[in-house]
Amino acid sequence: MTAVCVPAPPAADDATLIRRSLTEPEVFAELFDRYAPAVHRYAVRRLGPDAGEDVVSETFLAAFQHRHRYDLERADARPWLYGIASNVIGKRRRDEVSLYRAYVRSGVHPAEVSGGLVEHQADTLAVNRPLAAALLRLRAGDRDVLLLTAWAELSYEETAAALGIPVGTVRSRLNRARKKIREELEDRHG
Amino acid sequence: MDELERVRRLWSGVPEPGEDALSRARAGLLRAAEAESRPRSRLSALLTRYGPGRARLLPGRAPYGVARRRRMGARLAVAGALAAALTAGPVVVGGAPGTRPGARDLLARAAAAAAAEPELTPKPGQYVHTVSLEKYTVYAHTGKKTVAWIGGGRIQEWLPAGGSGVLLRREVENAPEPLPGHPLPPEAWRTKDRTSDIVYDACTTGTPPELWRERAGEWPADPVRLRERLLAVSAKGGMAGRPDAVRLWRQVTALAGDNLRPSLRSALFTVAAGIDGVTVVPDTADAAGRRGIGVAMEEEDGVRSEMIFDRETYRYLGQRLTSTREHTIEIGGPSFVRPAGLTLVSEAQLSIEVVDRVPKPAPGASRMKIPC
Repeated sequence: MTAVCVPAPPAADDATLIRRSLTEPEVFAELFDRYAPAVHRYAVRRLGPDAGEDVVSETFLAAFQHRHRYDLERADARPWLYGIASNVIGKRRRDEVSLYRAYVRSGVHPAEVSGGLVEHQADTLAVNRPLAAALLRLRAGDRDVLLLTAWAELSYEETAAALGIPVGTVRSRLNRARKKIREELEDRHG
Repeated sequence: MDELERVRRLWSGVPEPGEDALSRARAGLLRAAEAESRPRSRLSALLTRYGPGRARLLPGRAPYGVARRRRMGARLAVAGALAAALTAGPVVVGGAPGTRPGARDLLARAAAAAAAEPELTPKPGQYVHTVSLEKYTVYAHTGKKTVAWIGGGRIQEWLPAGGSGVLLRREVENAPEPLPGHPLPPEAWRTKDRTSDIVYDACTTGTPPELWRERAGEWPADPVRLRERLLAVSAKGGMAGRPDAVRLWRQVTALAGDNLRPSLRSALFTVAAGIDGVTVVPDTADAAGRRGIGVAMEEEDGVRSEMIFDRETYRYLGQRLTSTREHTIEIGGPSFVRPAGLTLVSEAQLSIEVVDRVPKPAPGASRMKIPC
């Protein structure tokens, strides 16, 4: 049997959508539909389940209000959106710290539906607790770089664009973050 | 497994949200889209409708004028087939009475007029103060239908010389006007005389869009090189693949509304003179009602954009966007059929001067800070 594949019509790139939204604001909802789920998940990982929708709300409203400032040369809006989300999350640093602390104590992330991985639960915890402890100790800027890279899956260049910093700074922050994590893991495993 | 991979796996069991989890945020965004082009007082009506618990979801009124400027403005592109026009000979400003210049001729005259304007030379610490008028179509839901009218305001901007410092944008809303064929709804009056201040922080003001004048400071005032530059900056991203003429036109109109140095503005109009598909609009008017002669291009999205010049001096007056086909507006409520031939946005540049001080922002000013 042959599956019939109907190619999806080519979707407008983000810049085109944003440009259209300048005269037809409702078009911005399409950008929301593209990226809000991922931004939500990113926020929940960092802040816990209660914060997800608020972060998404604030991020997309800020993006919408500033869309006239979007650099239309950039076809992919993710770095821009994650940059705004990073600012929004940054204002809730206390929640983030509380979440990581609670995890270090309890070993439970309140939004995780399962282990998510095939590793044995105990093994996972043995690694994840020190990881959470390391995240706690990172400087805010280093943590942003690390998590945009690891969780939002932005490239170095995209992370740089998101945070408005040079790519070299992304590399050095990432190196520093990794070093701290390595130290934390070695301490725990001894 | 390296550290980065371990971090990647950390809490990877957090799922993406279901639709329910995002519905409130999505509705908030749609309300913002709906609210954008209308007075802030409409937001209190929305608050009543949606309840105070939703209050924080509602944005302040978006800086529509700025949006407009950028819409006219987020375009810095370049076009294709015009090199020939760029080598036009000397231009005499002011045609013989009774002659109607073609688009190229008109733009060549505009280029000559711009070149003759005096240069502004703000010192560090000073501000370039611009005054302009904007008009735009405002949509609002009233019960079961969507109404529309023409809103607008007087916009002043204080741009710090040198690219650092506070950038203030102040809009004072003017009396509304009815849309042709539509009565003026009472809602339209609610924000007359309202002042909205927006303060952009230093980080933001360091970025290009608000400071085209600064950014364009290094741009070549030689038309051929400027054209190359405009084509180069629009070659990637959202404008990639569009015809050169469209890319050039967008960029030219984006820059034209900004207070460029005279030589650069002149070069800009010379570039425009070489864009294919630009036509003359014999009689048009800017947002201040100043009648003039325009050049226009049909854009791909049912919109025609015009640059307007003084009929005698060929000085740049402003811009106008007109719908060229009927379009149904849907902003989360009853739809509104926007007719063809409607002026969607118009702008008038009124004055520009160098000043020493920026006024103190209003206590309720919006403060904008986004990643640089």
